[in-house]
Amino acid sequence: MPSIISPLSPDPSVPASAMPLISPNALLYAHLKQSPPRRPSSRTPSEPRPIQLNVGSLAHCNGSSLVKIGATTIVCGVRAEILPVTEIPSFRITKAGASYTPTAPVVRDTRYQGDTEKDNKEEDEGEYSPISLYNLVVPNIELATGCSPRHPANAAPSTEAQSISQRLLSLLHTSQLVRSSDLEIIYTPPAQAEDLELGIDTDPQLKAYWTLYVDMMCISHGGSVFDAAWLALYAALKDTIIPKSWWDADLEQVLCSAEVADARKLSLRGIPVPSSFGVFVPEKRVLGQDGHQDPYWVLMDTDGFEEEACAETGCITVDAGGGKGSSLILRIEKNGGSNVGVEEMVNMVTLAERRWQQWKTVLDAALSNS
Amino acid sequence: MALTEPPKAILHTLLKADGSATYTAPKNGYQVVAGVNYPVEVPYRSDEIPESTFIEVNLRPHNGVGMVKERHMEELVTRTLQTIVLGDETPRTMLQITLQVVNVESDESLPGGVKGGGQGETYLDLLASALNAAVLGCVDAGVQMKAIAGAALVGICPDGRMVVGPSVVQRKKCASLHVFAFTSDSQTVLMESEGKFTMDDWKQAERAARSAVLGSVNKQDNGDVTMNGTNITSGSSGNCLLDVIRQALEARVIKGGNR
Amino acid sequence: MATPQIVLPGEHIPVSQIPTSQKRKIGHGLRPDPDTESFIATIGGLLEVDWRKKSAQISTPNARYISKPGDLVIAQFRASSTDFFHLYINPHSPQAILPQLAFEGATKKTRPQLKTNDLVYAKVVSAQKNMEIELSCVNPSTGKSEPDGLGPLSGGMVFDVSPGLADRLLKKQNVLAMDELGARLQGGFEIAVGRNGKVWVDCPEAGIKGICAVGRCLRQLDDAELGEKEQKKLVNKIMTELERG
Repeated sequence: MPSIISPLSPDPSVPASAMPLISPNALLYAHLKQSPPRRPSSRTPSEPRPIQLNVGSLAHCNGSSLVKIGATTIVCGVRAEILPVTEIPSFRITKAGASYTPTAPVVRDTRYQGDTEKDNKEEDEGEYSPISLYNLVVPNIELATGCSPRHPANAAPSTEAQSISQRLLSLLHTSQLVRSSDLEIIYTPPAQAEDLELGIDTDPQLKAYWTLYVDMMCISHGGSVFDAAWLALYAALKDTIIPKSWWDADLEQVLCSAEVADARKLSLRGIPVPSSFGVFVPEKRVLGQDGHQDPYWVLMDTDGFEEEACAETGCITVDAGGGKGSSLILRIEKNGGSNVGVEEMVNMVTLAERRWQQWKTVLDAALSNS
Repeated sequence: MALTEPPKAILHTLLKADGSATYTAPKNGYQVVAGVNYPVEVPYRSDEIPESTFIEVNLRPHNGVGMVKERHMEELVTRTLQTIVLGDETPRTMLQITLQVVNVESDESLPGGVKGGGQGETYLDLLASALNAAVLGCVDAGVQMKAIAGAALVGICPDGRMVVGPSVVQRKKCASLHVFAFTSDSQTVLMESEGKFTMDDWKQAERAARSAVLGSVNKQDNGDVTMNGTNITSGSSGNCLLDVIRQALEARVIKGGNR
Repeated sequence: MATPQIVLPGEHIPVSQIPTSQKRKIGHGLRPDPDTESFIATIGGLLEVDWRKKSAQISTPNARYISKPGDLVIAQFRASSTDFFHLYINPHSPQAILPQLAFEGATKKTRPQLKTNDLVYAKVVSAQKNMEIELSCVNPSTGKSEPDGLGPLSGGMVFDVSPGLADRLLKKQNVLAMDELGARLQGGFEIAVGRNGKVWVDCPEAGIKGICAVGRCLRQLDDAELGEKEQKKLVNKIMTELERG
């Protein structure tokens, strides 16, 4: 778009491709002040990028996915390992039934009806979910792959990588995506072994947990990595199959079946969808005599270039699958500036719901193909 | 809804640092000591910002060393401070803030009253205290700022009740937790919410946090919430966070007896 | 002196509270509001307005000392080069230089000979980022060391105080105890106050004991904010202790 850039760079020897390097702020402002506002990628401020999703492409994992949102590419693999309860330091309870009785009834929505619920206890994790207590789901994202100039290969994890890992973990725990009942390996002693005098009862015993290691590699960093990482994590968990496993009382260890037909999938709770945004505020010197009063633009699904020009960023995670009209909000984050307040956030929910529909379509298409 | 019990803040609790503060969250919650050095040389040339101040925040938990969770909180505190500190007043220097958690509330319902803070647990509870301590430290160190900021933690119980500054047991039962930080000119600089909630819940939580931080002043002000002598003219909201900061500064600055 | 007023960063200070003269001096911590005539505080502390001197500033008790031109400091001699003495002001400021001829009546032959760790009471001439701080021991307009009494300090002892107390001592604000002590102590005492938080005290007649008494008094003044009565009481206590031995 040389016609837009030209007033900013009267010197014709500056090529258009160099503008983002010279002054990203001025370039972005030049684009956004058009009416209607357009971004350098010719998207409107609220328009997200298309999503490409593949699942099950890694053969050695229990589940895997590949996500491309614009230039952002993330590969994710899930690996399941068995964690015997004897190896958990300060493990509290050994009986499956008595594991986590909430001391007070926790009223939460009951719209996620699981397939085969033993009882309603597992409907919601109690106050102390074993998943967060024993770290049964461990997400980690690696940005040090040379995915962008700011993330050279083989460097120590950057602040951004650690922040994203932490946010993924927080969202995993607070959305209670994975059911702890899916991860339990329970042994029910045969009835004839009961001997009350010796103190042997036949109550089901919790013998081990499955631990899920969710590892993500960012191959290309094109902004809004958190969204892409969460989609990759979600799709990979959807794709994950857990082998049939049981406790062998004679060997005193957990055995697994090699038959793929015996393996089961995880049943996840809902579809939380994050929508990252950035708030672009033009610099004073760029504004010049244009005379606007503190203009700013909220850009949904920022790309790498926009992310660098936006100091204020945030993310809103919704789950519109409830079908109750108003969607459930799982997480709201915003920091680095003071432009977005309550009203702007309320407007963003609509955009986030639209994003949810986009995700749902992509997920359904990818998961039905696999 | 004002705080039932105001937080406590004492300025200049460390002798050697340029500025320091101790912040104690209400109901015997987190206690955080902030040490601020400002302005100091930037240790690595690559971190130096030609036209602004480089802000470094170190958060140290009550036990062990800081890990991923602490890094993320440091990032959030840094980004919030960046919006209020006038960095161009001291270009090419560093503002270094060290936050040490000295006391946490122990959870009696866990065996042995385990103190929280595992990597998997929420960071929102500590975030509000850490940010408040950092801002207090900056006030004490004479860091030039556009405005001061304060944060509050709000929990929403499953029955929809708001709890400002919930205790550790209350937090466990809350359906969602929210942290909001406001500047003294009533702009929102930080929002962090997690759990399951609706937009209406969230708006209510924001209002509760706002009155806990700024007091129950009218919201349509044009930046003169903290017009000089607030504590005299609108002394009714005597225990919002802003008043606590002001009282801490008064206790520190006013010389006894004279003038 | 106006009534003390505590301000927090971001507070607006109306025009009526700031001198309006053309020659007004607006000091540290105040920023003009671009839209109105008023000012915005950028640091927390006491708003100090002096209508007579047409000055306004916000004072904080304990900001880090950063050299500004015109400050009086007590510097320690480190090394000497052909034309300059190199001095140390505090751990976080760059090394200071003092031209060897910047003493009262100094010539190539009569310039003072300093030994390592000798103390000099000097005035900051220029202080810029990434440059050495330049000091001088003469008043640039008169060529004299008075009225500040600049020059090498011999004998006596140095006490570390907070920059805030040093400021108060220089302005003689709420430091009645010092006057009181000077009157009560046999032969009085000499004092030189550096903005960098150093106070040099010499007490030729009362000797080391007298110096220590002053030092104790300084520490008390720094630790707790004392009122007039309390300061008098403090001096009484110090004097009785001194007499008892």
